Amino acid sequence: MTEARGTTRRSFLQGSFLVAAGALNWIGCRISPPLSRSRRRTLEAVVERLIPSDDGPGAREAGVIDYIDRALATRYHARLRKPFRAFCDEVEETARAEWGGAFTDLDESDQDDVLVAMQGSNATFDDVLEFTLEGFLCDPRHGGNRNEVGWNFIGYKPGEPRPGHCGH
Amino acid sequence: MFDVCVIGSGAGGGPLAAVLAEAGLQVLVLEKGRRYARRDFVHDEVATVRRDFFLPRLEDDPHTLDGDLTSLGWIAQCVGGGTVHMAGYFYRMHPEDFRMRSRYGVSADWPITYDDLEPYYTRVDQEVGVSGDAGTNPFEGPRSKPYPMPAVNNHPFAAALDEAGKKLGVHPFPSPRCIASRDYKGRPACVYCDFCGSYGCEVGAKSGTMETMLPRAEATGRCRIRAECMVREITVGRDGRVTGCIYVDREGRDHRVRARAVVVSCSAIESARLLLISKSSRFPNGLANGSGRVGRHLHFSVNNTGRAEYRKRADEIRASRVPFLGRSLQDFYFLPKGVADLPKGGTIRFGFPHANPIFTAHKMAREVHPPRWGAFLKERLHEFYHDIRAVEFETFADFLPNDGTYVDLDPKVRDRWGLPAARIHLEESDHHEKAGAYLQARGLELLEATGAERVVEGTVAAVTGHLVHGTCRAGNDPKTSVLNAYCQAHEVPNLFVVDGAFIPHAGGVPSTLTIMANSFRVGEFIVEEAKRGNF
Repeated sequence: MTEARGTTRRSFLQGSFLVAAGALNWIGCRISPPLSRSRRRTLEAVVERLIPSDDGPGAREAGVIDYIDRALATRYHARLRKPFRAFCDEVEETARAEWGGAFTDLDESDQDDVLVAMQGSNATFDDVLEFTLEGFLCDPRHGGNRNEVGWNFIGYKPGEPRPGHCGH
Repeated sequence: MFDVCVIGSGAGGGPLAAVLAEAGLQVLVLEKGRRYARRDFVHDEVATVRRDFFLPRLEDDPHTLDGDLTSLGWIAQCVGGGTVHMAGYFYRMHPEDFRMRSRYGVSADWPITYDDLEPYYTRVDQEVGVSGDAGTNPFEGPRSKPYPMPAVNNHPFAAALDEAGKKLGVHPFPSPRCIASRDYKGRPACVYCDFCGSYGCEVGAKSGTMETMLPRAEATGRCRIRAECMVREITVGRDGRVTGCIYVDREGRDHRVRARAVVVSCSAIESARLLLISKSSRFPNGLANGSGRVGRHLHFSVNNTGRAEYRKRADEIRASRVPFLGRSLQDFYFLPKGVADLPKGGTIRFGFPHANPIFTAHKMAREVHPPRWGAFLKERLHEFYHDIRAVEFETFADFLPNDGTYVDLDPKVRDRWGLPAARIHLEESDHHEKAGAYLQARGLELLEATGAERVVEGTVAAVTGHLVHGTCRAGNDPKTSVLNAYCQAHEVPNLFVVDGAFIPHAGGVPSTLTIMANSFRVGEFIVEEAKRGNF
């Protein structure tokens, strides 16, 4: 029981610390990033197909990959780190096996075909899409929707009060 | 030693805490979640709605369903409970809802009638602060007083629904809200920021318990509220009466509370879980569970949705910034012959789509299967936000309690305190689909009659997981119920349960108003019992 309470205590402190700090920005920088450089490159290319940059800004302009980096670094989303890494690996495996090249080297149309295949077979695709939408339309303090390009695309303003820079 | 320890500070715990403290009792309110202030409520969708501001992280505090972790049944963890982030649609139950077994042979009768509860519905209207226009809903039960405040402002497009209603012979009425439409009892009126549902109210116009009843309780000097205190057991003495509880604070330390009576109000699934966990030699199957009914008769509310999209009339909708369309329909609270064996329908509520952009984008993505992305999604998003304007509806319809829907303790999964998680078993009646399809068609019909170019079916017979009831139901027979007519445990006279768990049948409305009304009633009873020296 003492053992269990010790674990519980750590979870409590960690939990309340993250919540009290609230500024997920700098915490994301402190912990080593959940995605390796090469996986990040793959995922960056993926999200740029999920919200492309034709006809208005897309995931690239919004900085969706930065949002995802920080989101995966939070305790809240810790359980998605492994699935996201596996997702990136499967994207690359599929690209090489079926389309003969690294995902980042394929043209956009082939990249889309890879993602159609992934959507049908990989359970993490839905989470990747959801994170992409979050990164496109979140408050910029979370790392995405840079310069409010996502909000401007849809003509949205959340109005005051907005979150502050520290706290919460 | 406290007179009463109240576990949970939401719709059930709040009004009662004020009643008890004002009557001179010493009250301790233990709340599992944090205590927020108005300044903590910011318009940030990710932080507020998509992380753990109101709901626990799944791995920390799971429920389980079919072997998976689920957030089904979670309402809120904060001082004020679900009343902090509710949208606050406050409809009364219908008199027939209290008599389902006698009248229709299904579910269970309440041990009280609508008339018994009516004075307390009125107390909520007056003391908590509900805004609405009495007499506009021909299907409402009798009321002894009008609302203390007129309905909140509605968007001019409500007139289009009213006109269509006249054409079809139905009666849309202004949706009553638990929101101050005028400055009320020291709180400011609504500022129409459109961040009601899923967010706390930054000006205090939403009449949740943390703005109304809890401050009243604390003002007496006889009520202490301790946040981030998780009750892990209700303690029982040798005489089979409760003696208090044990809670864990935010540092992980145990504390023992002694109280003459304990009121449980942690939301239906969690209250049942707490009773099941609080085993003793006197109660080997869980506290007050000699009947075996703790956790049983679980039911939710049934949602059916649809949407209308306007092009020609989009400018009319854009012309005003008032966020509330504010119309509801109870013409189909009862169903005509031939729709379903049980002639119970529900409430249809019309409103503009929720403003949250990530939620909306996700909705747009999932309109098709598999979900759309890429250029298709961008086009649809652009169209939704720029070319059209939408009106949506949702319903509150009866979820029929059944033997296959109940809560017990998960044999494997534990929460972050090492306590067994609540395991949900879910079975849905055919009735939900039959009534649901009918209600959906009626909603679409009304919107079509307003000249929408396109109407879209949403879901039928979806389960609204944050409206939770029945798990410690009240009744006159101790063999088939956990609580008596005063929400007092049949077997334990100093134990009460006042969240949705007590509700034997929730009917076709969201239950928050009913829970608050009953909380006033039970509070009065506890005060009388204390005066009679029964604690």
